[in-house]
Amino acid sequence: MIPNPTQFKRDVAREVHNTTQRKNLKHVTGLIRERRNAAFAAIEDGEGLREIGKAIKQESLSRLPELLEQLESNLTRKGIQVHWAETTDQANQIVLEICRRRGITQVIKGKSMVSEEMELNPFLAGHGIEAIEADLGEFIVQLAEKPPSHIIAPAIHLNKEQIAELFEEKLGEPYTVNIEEMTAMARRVLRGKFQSAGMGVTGVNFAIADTGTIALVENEGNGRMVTSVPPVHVALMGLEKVIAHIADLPPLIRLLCRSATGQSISTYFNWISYPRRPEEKDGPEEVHLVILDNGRSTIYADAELRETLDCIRCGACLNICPVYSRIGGYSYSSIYMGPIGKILTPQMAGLETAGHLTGASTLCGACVEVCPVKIPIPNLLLRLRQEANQPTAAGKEIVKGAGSKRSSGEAMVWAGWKVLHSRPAAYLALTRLAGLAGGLLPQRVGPLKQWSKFRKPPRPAKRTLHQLLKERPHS
Amino acid sequence: MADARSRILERLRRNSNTPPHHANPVSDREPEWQAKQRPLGDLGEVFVSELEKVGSKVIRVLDWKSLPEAVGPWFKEFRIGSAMTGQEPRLEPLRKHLGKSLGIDLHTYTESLEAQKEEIFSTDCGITTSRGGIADTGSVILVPTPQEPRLLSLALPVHLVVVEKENLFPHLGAFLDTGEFQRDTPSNLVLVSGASRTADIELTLTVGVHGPKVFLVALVG
Amino acid sequence: MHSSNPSTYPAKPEQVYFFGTCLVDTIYPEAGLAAVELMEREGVQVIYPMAQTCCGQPPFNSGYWEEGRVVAAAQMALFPKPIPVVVPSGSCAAMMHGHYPHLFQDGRDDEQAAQAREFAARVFEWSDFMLNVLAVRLQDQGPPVKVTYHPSCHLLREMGVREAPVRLLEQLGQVTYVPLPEAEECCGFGGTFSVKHSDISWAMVEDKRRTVAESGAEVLVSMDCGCLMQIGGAMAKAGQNTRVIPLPQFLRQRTMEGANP
Ligand code: SF4
Repeated sequence: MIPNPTQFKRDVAREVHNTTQRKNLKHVTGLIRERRNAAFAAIEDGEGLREIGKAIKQESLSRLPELLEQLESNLTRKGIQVHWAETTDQANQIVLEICRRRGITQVIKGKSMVSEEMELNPFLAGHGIEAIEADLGEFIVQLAEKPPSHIIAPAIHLNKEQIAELFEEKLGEPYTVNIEEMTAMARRVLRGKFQSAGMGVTGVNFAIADTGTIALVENEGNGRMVTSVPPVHVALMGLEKVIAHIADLPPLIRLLCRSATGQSISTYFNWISYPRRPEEKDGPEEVHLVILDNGRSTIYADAELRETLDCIRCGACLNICPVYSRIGGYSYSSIYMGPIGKILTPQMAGLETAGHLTGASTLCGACVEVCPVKIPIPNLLLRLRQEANQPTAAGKEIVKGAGSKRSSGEAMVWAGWKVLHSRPAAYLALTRLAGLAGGLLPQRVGPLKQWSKFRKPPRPAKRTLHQLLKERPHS
Repeated sequence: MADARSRILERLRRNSNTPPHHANPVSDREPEWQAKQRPLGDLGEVFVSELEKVGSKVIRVLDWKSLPEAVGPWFKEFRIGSAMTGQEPRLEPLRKHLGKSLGIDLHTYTESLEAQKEEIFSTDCGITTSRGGIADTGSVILVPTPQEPRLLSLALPVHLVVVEKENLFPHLGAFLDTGEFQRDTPSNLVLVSGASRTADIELTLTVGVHGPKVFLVALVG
Repeated sequence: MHSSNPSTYPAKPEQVYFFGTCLVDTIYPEAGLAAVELMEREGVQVIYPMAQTCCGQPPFNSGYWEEGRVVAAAQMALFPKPIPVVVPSGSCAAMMHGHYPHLFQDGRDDEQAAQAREFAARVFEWSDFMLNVLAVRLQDQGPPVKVTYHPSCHLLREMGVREAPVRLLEQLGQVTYVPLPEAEECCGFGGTFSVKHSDISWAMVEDKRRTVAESGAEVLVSMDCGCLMQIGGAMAKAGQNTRVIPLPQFLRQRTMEGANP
């Protein structure tokens, strides 16, 4: 999925009028927000907890290379095979090679945003390997032949009627809007797949360096199934997921679950530290961890932008974002959507491709208030807008595509603006003139045309504040 | 991919010396934060009430001896016809009771997942012991062993688990403080806080997706 | 953020600077005048440097930091005395209080960076300043009216001012303050966002308009004229006749002898 400014405009123009979707999103994001707020209200010092979360992430990131090596050596010692991928292509190849070596033709998956980033399912399909999503939300969007529209709740944009139609059409099941029955249908279909699949693929919520442990958060039990029943388990992680100590886990899990779903803990919290050991009766014979870079090491290089990598993918910023709930996840044409998508995707894909996403924000800052690791998203958006628009010498880019959004037209506008606003005499003359001209400003072109589509245009006051104060009788 | 590894690490190393924004070691902050939380009171009560909040069934029994009689009625209530355990001696009296008095069809996980797959996936109820519980989140700590493998608590529609009150910890950090996980890291540890659930359709809570639909906890002590 | 720490509020000063903002200057000058007069009524001398223009936020938000920096530097030079700078806008106050230090920090000119930090610390948003520094007590002179308040995002989240405007409204005996449903959700203005992303902006303001109607208020006040232009403009176009008025102007009207609503 490649973002594109023209496409974005088109999709947005359509989706803001998609009343069903807007209703679905408003309803569900509203509910999650309530639950999230209640979960934080139930503990003392939620703010202190967020600070601990931030500190853990910042500290882990400051020691990232060392921690990744420690993780690797601890896992390897215990028989978990560690692979490194600079690109999603490499990561896909790694998974494919494991499949080939073991003759695997069917893969069952737990939720993994990194696998979405890799577009693993279509890749495997292209090599004759079937990949089936086991998380109910992912299962639904897979039936719809779509990626997830939300990082935590993949099918959040669909209501039960829409899902019922999908099940009827794709699974040949009788139409029902009874959610329990629909869930049972998915259970039935997937039960067999857990038993027949040769490989289970999951993401990683946290990788713990000191004990060599992969931690997985989930509610459905699909993660446990995928990591217990098939003979091979492959875990995919972005390189920022490593933390130093197992003792870092309690505060992070509290933050993640409360922020994501309003639970105090998820139903299952899996800690995987070995493949099946000789005396054990179940568990995968092989466990692999794929560590993916895909642009993260470049983000890492800048101390301010590095905060992007603090993200623990809780989705809280999506749920509170006034833009996300009105345009829906697909408008972004990006694996990561909403506020986190707007800072992450432009850095991964490059500003020339995804820089436009940084502009689609009022900088309202609602996301900052809920982010469990306090990522200053609006400030990072500002920074990325600057990177996109400042003249940048080739080879000097901090962010991929730096300077690519600079247009001579806009640069001229701001240069003129600067002159006007740093010369008081010019400013005074022009603002006075605008007051006199009043309604004579051109309304059928440029910004005023956009403005006037659904808003009455503002009228410059007859006398400016400068004039009013100057002309005031002195007391 | 040795090249990928060294290139990634090299890129990261070039920039990793940036000091962290927060200097305090994390481990100092967590106890401070815990100290601010409202006192939990009796761990058993908190544990039970947290579990019940998410729809789990809990029974409290005085000792292992009274366990069989106490949990027996659940088998009728949830129409459990067959049950499976591992090779855990403490569950022998319960097995006897279930088989003899209630006529439950009993199975034992003795071979391996591969050898017993069908049997496991077609039995009604898995019965296991546990390493203990976490009170503040109502979580059961499961550490599967060769005697009580993973699937007993996962693949069967009902999971009945025995938790000893003396093994309750106030919160997850307190369990980690024992150091046992760090010393003798198990292949797999899972915290289970209720029956398998989803809210992926309209955020409507639905119980029993891929894991057990019914989660029964007997708290001993 | 001043409000998160009361100790950062100064004692009531004799003199303050007033930074009117370009939007108030050109579109809502009456709001600026009201803000000045209400401070004067509290016995404070208000200095309005005539060479002031704009805080620099528009280019800054658009990624043109250098242009913003030039204009910001020109503004700072106009407010040299160590007295508070009061701004009748959450957004412009946030620019000057929160973003100036960052804008000047990146090592190009240490003296200017230090100046920016010193200046930023003196910047106060008007409603916060009226309530928490001037400790104003308002006497309502107007007839009964139902009023709601839209908190601008930057006042709320960047300046951390959550209560002040409502506390001021509540001082007015004949005013019934009715809360705005989903008040803390953005109105969709966002400066150039409102024209660059007018579709999204529309979707947002439509919901805001609906909640204003739901509140049952006859008057909508706010501390940010950008929001008022957005919400008021959309209501006017749709024929929704809630009165929309900047908070300082409303407070002045209510507290003048023989006030009219
Ligand atoms: S940016 Fe923050 S709120 Fe958004 S998904 Fe990441 S951690 Fe959660």
